Amino acid sequence: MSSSLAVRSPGWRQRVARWLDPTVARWEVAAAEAPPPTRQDDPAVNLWPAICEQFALRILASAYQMGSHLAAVEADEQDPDRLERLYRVDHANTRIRRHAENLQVLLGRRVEDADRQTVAVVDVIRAATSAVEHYPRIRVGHVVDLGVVEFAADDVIRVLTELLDNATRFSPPTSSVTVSGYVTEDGGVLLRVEDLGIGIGPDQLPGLNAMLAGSPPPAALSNAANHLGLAVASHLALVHRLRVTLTNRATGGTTATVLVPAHLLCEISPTAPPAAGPPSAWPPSRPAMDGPAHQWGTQAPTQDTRRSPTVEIATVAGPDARSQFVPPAGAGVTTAPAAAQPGPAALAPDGHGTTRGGLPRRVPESVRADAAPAAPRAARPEPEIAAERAAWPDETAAFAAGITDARPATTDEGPRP
Amino acid sequence: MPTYWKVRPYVLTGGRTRTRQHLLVHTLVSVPYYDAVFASGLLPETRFLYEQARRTRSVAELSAVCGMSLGVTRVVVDDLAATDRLRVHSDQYASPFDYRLLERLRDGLRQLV
Repeated sequence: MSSSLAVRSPGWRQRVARWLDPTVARWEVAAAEAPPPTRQDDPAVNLWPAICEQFALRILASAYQMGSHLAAVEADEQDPDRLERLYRVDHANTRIRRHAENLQVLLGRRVEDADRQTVAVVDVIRAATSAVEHYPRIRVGHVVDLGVVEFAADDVIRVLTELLDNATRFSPPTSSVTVSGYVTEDGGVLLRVEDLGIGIGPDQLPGLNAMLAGSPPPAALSNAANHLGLAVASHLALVHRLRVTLTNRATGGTTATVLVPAHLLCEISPTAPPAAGPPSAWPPSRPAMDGPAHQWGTQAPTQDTRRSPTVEIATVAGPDARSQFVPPAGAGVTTAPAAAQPGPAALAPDGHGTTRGGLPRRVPESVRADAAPAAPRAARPEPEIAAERAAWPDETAAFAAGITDARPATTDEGPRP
Repeated sequence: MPTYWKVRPYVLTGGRTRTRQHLLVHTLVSVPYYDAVFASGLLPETRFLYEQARRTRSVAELSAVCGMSLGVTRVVVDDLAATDRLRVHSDQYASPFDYRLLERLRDGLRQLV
């Protein structure tokens, strides 16, 4: 492969992508915020990301290949014992694929998933469950009927996989881990993973949450190899502006939450969930074909923009039936009912503040004291966002307490396949 | 209604492959009384199968229309049958040369022509 082409191609792709869609610049910003894999100027050291990338792609290609053979054999197998063994092989293969993908994520590359599509939240949860070692212990609770847009779905799956993996790994082997998805008031979806483990030490928790929020890991957690899963989660959370937090539950155990923002969500048809092709047809091993060639010699994570969301959608938008499930990225669910109705304070004109006699005039308004801050939602100062970010774990804990309180009344743990 | 490819079949069944009762490809199942509230609480594949089984169908038919492999379909049918949501007409055909089975086979072949 000629090196000149390898060096030139990312810039060219970026220009085309930006020409097609101005929001592509957002990707570049997100990628630039992410910690670069290496900053050494020594070319010999700089080869390592490329080598790791190569191996990740090769492992991924082998896993895809094995997966397609396995799917075919599984579909034909009639004997329960042999099918169970095939499931174990499939499970191991799925975990190999997951680790190869995670290696790419940690290298700052965007993973080239085969057959991207809008994925229902329930399928996001189950796809994440598929790649977890102790998957039979995971129970699916209440899940909202929404979909995650195709350019983010696989990354949300990866984030949730790591959280589920931690939850099952650090909880008693007989206990179950519950995962559920709720709509939040601003139109996002909150995915909650609850376990009954020993929890996280109070001294470690702020550092881990800071790491998940995007700041470099504190010195106590500098041994990144101990937190590979959370490193993957924080990296992807930064790219897609997900909000990942860990909280200790009052009753013991940990709750991990992922807030998927409204702009990554869309409606799905309840009768026909989007899916393509027969289940036996594992997607083709495309990453092996076009991936490795132009990766050599490039090191900056900014080149990930070559897979922009807009370009993705444009390529699938054809006579294909499933393209109707792919709305533009901005067309999420209706956001923020609170923002639609301005606060009563804004409705009262200034001239009617007092009567002619100088007495205050009564203005009809809500008795709710907290109704006022709904209006200035459009442009918020940076400190406010930071404060809200700090308050988020507390709110999550309150939400968790509410769910826990409500649970004995309904005993609705959701269906079990 | 195929499932997203990253949702592996072992997750749909919780890793189980065995069923409590013997379910053959031509075993007929039906829904005794359809409960929409119950259906709304099911996972997508199970719900689709439950809806399809309102008309009496064989396990193989359900596997085909639901886009699930026979192994997964058997476990899903078995789980629904264990809660009495699905009736399994197991003893209908004692032998594979039962007159009614052959008749059904003939009718099915005619439909294909």
